[in-house]
Order: sequence, then structure tokens, then C-alpha cells
Amino acid sequence: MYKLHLILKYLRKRRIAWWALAAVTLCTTMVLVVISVMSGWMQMFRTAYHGLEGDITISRVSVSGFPHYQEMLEKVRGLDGVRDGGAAMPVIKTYGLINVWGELQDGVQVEGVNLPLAQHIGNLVQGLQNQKPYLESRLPTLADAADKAAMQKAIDDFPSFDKPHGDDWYRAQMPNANTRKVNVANWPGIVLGYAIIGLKREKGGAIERPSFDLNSVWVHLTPLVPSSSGTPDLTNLPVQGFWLVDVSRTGVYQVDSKTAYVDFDLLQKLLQMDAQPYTQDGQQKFTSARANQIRINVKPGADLAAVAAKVKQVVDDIRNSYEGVETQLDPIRVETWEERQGSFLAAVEHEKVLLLFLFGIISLVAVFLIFCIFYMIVAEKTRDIGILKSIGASSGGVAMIFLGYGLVIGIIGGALGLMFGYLVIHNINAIHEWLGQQFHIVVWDPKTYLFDTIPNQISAENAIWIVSIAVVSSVLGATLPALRAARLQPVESLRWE
Amino acid sequence: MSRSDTVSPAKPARKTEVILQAQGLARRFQMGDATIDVLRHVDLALKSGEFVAIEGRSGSGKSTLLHIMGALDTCDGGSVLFDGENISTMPGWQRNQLRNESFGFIFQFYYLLPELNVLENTLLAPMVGHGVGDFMGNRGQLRQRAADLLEQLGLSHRLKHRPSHLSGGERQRVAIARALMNRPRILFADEPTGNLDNETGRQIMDVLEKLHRDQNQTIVMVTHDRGLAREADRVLVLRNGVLASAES
Repeated sequence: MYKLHLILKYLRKRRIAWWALAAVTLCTTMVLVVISVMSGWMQMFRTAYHGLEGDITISRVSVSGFPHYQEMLEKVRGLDGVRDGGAAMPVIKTYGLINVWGELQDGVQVEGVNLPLAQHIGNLVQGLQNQKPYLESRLPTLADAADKAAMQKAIDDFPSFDKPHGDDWYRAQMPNANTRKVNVANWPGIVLGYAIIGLKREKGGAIERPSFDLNSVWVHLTPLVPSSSGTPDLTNLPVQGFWLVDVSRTGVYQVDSKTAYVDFDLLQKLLQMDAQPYTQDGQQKFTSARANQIRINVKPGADLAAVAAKVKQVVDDIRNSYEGVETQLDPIRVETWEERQGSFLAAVEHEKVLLLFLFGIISLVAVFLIFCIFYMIVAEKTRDIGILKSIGASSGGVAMIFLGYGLVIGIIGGALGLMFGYLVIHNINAIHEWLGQQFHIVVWDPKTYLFDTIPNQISAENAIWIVSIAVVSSVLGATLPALRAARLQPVESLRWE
Repeated sequence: MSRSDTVSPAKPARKTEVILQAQGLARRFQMGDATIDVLRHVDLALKSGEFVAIEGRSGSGKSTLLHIMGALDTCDGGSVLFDGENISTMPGWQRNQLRNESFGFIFQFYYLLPELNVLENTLLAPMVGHGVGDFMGNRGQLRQRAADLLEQLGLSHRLKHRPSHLSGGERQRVAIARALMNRPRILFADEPTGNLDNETGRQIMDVLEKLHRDQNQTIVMVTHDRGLAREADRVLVLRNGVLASAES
């Protein structure tokens, strides 16, 4: 009875117990925040990179791409394990210069994609920010019939590169173009990574709507066109005008700040990667159209490696069926997303090892801190131990007081740490923003950490582990002092100065 | 085990019965290279209901003797028999039980737990002796006994006060109440007035004498004060590690 009574009394009356409690709470909070942010970062890293290019890719590095991609697509779509509904999509990747509204000129990665297909592969379509809800909100306000029809079509066709206004509206945006006989109404739509044009994220996570009308932004794109010899003709680069139809956010800052998306067929034509006519033996023939990449999504639960092996077989068959497909320096690669992002993922795995090491040190520090505090508590209560023993308390009973004390402090400290940790992590982006505004402290630079938000999720598994470790640490920290207290002879304790 | 008997009247005792006997007790302390024989050969027979005072100068070893007889310390030679049983060779749990049920201690510096109030300090001995369920089952009776004891000692208005709010005399009376709570067969008092002024010390002595006179409480008191020692039934003097009667 006295053990329970004294544990509760010591907790309530001893100020040093509050320090021990504060130490456990802070250590738990600190570890929870660090672990949640780091493991959240690693999870985001995997999810985001997984979402960039689908589960499996067929690709070549060269901007000139590879031929016979339609045949590959057809065969791949028929493979067992590939997700139904056209979950395989050709992509063209090249580089280009953009001129946005005459105000921003930058080099970007240009991706030619088929947006309707892209909604089944990767997270590009999920990352489109404004188009549909924005257009739906604006539709009732439009007076012009052509505008209304265009906007309705853009809504119905979503996701697409459809422009949401009528021709006259676009002409009105660039009155000078009329004098230059440029029909700006014919310019197609383009999607830019949101960070290219300096948009910021709002507190809720959505991209801010700028003060200007996004749809009125024009973009001149000058893509790098590989010639038939493979060397780009820099003196004769095409310039294509576009109207901005949306901004995208994949979550990977490097991608969102450097990627422009246009329609696949359009880019293919611009880069002359579509079927080109040629004459052979007096007959006009066509070359095979080319693409840089085929992105494939597999069925949920399918064995990625097994599907990748089947895809590889398809590629090998086509490579063996046609001449000129195989190259020595730049073969067509079939890779799972983990293989493709291998160098990044390996770096993340290294981070994980480092994290475990740091966590180990933090845990040791926490145990040592608690040990020191309990050692002080026991030293301070040595005479009490003598008093208790003089009235018949056993050594085990005395040890149990301090172990129980450690246990209760561990449980309360762990619970408080969990609560504070949750509050900090849940609001970490707001706190970070506030620190930036008030003190110009920027800890999380998206350029460094790849993502524009600090991960703010606590995994239940991590929380259980960390709180358990806090409780065990408290009991461990109290064990040696408790054993010391138990071993003391009653007379020794009573004479303690 | 039901402990309802703890609130039964004091156990009757006859002065002819020897309940505690020290035989050839020796105790030495190592101080650096030197060995100090504090107790050389101490013999003592304590009869039930007797009030014995052990007198001696500071450092003469009288507290050490009291601690050994009270199972708080061990001896290097000789033995202590309680009811004929050698407590020096008893296992730890039995010595703990003895200190809880049969012995009560009063110390010069009171030794109350500062976090507990007067009532809780008094209840500490039954708390140590009972499990949670057992204590809670008898809580009403135990609290009543503690309150009665404290009332007898003039502390009924101080039940909820913590030791830091009490005077020295009040603290010592709380310590006496705590020592008496489990109806000890022997009450060991180590310089019980050593930290008090004359008048307060006198009051504490009156309490001890009353206990001895009215309830036939067996008391062993050590003191350096010859005047106080003479109030006991028998006075022994510890000198050079050997115990002798005051007259010798």
C-alpha cells in the first residue's frame, strides 16, 4: 500500500518529479517529431517518385527516342498483370526554352503526354490544380456563347489540354498579335509545373490562385528537336505558342519547378518524331513514329518484377523483329520504378540508417537524462528509504517505489510527449511558415528536401514504439538508482547526509 | 491476513518475562586503516514492561547498540534474541516483519516523511505491513486508531498538516504515534529529546513515562542526559564498548 501511496505523493509533491516528467515529455516529443518528419519524408519520397512515371517504364535516354512504340503499347496492354483501361502511355521527353508572358524565360524539361491516359498512370492528373473546379465556378458567369461552349468542353473533356475560352477571347488577350498575322486562337494548351511561375502553396495544401487569370498566360516554347542525324539544328528551332490551361503539382519540387507538359501528338509533330515519309525503291514509305518512354501501371497486388520481365520480353521481341531498333550505347531499358529511381532510393536508405543511428543516440541521451534525474531523486530520498526500512519496508518494496515512480513518469511523460508531438507535427507547416514570417528562419528548403511541404503525418506504429521506448527508458533510468536504494542498510540511509 | 487485531487493546505483559536478550554483542567500524571497536562485549536482558535507559557519551556506541537490538543493524559478534529467537540470523523478510510489527522506533531527528501529512505519517507503519486491498479493507479502523493516538498526544488539530508546519515537539509526538501504531512489543527511543528544548523534552519524556506506566510499554531509551536516564526503571551505562549498571 505504501508503495502506491508514496509514488503518487512523490509525483504530486516533489518538484524534481516535474523535471523528470518534463524531460521524458520533451524527449518523446523530440523523437516523435524527428522520426515522423524523417520517415514521412522517406515515405513521401517513395510515393512521389513512384507517382512520377508509373510502375514500369520502357525508355531510352536519347531525346530521339525509340520506334515501334505503338506495337509495344498494344502488346504491353494485353499482358497479364498490366492494369486494364489503357494503363500504358507513350511519353516524349525533351528539353526546351520557355518564355512565359514575356516576363519569364527558363530552360525546362518538356513532356509530351496524353492527359486522358495519364489519369491512370502516375500522379500527374491528380496533381492538376485549378482547371476543373475553377472552370466550373466560372462557367455561370460567362456571357459569350463561344466562351461558354469552350469552357463546357474543357470541363467535359477533363483531363485534357482543351482551352476554356473561345477564339475571340484569346485574340483579345494579345491584340498586337493580330497585326503580326499570328492566329493566337490556334495555340494549344500547356500545363506548367506550379513552381515555374512562382506560385505558392496555401495553408490547406492547394496552390494559391494568382491575382491574374491563369488562362490569359501565354507561353512560347522552343523545344530541342533532334535531327535525323541526332544532332539538333540549333539555327532552326521551332517556336510554338501555347495558352496556359493549368498548373500541376507532383509534390517533387525539382519536377514542379522545371517541367512543362504539352499534348503528346503535338510534341511528337514538333520534334518530327511522328511517322516521316521517305522514298525507297521508288515507293513512298513512312518511318515508324517514335517516343522516349512508355509508362505502365500494373494491377494492384501484381508482382512488379514478374510483370517487368514480361514487358522486357515484349521489348526484346520487337527489338529482334526490326532493324535499327537496337543501339549499343543507349539500349531500350525496361525498369521498375524502384530500379529507375535506384540512385535516389539508395540515398534515402542511407538516410534511414543515419536516422536509426541518430535515434539510438537520442534514446541513449534520454535514458541517461532520466537516470541522472532519478539518481538525484534517490539521493535526495535516501533518508526516507532509511525511515521506511526502519518501519519494516523490504528492499524490494523500496525498489518498487522508485521503479513504479519511473513507470508512472514514463507513462505520463510518454502520453504528454505524444500529445505535444501530435500538435507540433500536425501544425508543423504552419509553425514553419510562422517562423519564416517572424524570424526569417527557413529550416525546410524545398530545393534541399525535394518537397514543398514538411511531412505532417504520425504513423501509429511509430507512435506506439516511441512511447513504449519512453516508458522503458524511464523504468531503465530508474532501475539502477532503485537498486542502489534497495541495497542500502537502514542505518546507512538514516545517517545519510 | 486480517489485521483488525491492530486496534485491539495493548498486549498485557509481565515484568518477569525476558523478551529481548543481547549476548556478547560486538560491533566494529573500519575508519580508513583504523578499526574501532564500538561494542566489545555487551550483554543485556530486557524484561517485558521494563523501561531501560542506556546512558553514554556521544560516540560511545549507544545508538549502534539500539540499532542492533532493533534489527536495524547487524553485529560482528554475539547475538540478539527476541522471544528466544536469534534475530541476527533471521532472513531479511523476518527482520522486516519484526521492525514492522514488534518494534517501534523514535529518533532524535524525528524522521518523518516530508511529503506526508501527520495522519499519513502515522499510518505509514500499517501501510508498510498491509497490501493495498488489506489496508483499504481496514482503512476505517486504522485511521480511527491513528486519530485516537494523535488525539492522546495532543495533535488532533494537526492531522492534515505536513511536518514542515509542525514544531519539534509536535514532530516527535507524530513519530511516537507512528511508532505505536502497530502496538510494538518494544519501543526503541534514540535520544528522543536530543533535538528539543528542556520544556518540550520534558513533555516527550512525560509521554514515554505515561506509556510505560499506563500501558506497561517496554521501552529502551538511549540518551547522553543522565537526568533523563534516571527516570527509567533501570539505567545502564555504555563505556568503552561494555555495558554496566549505573550503580557499578
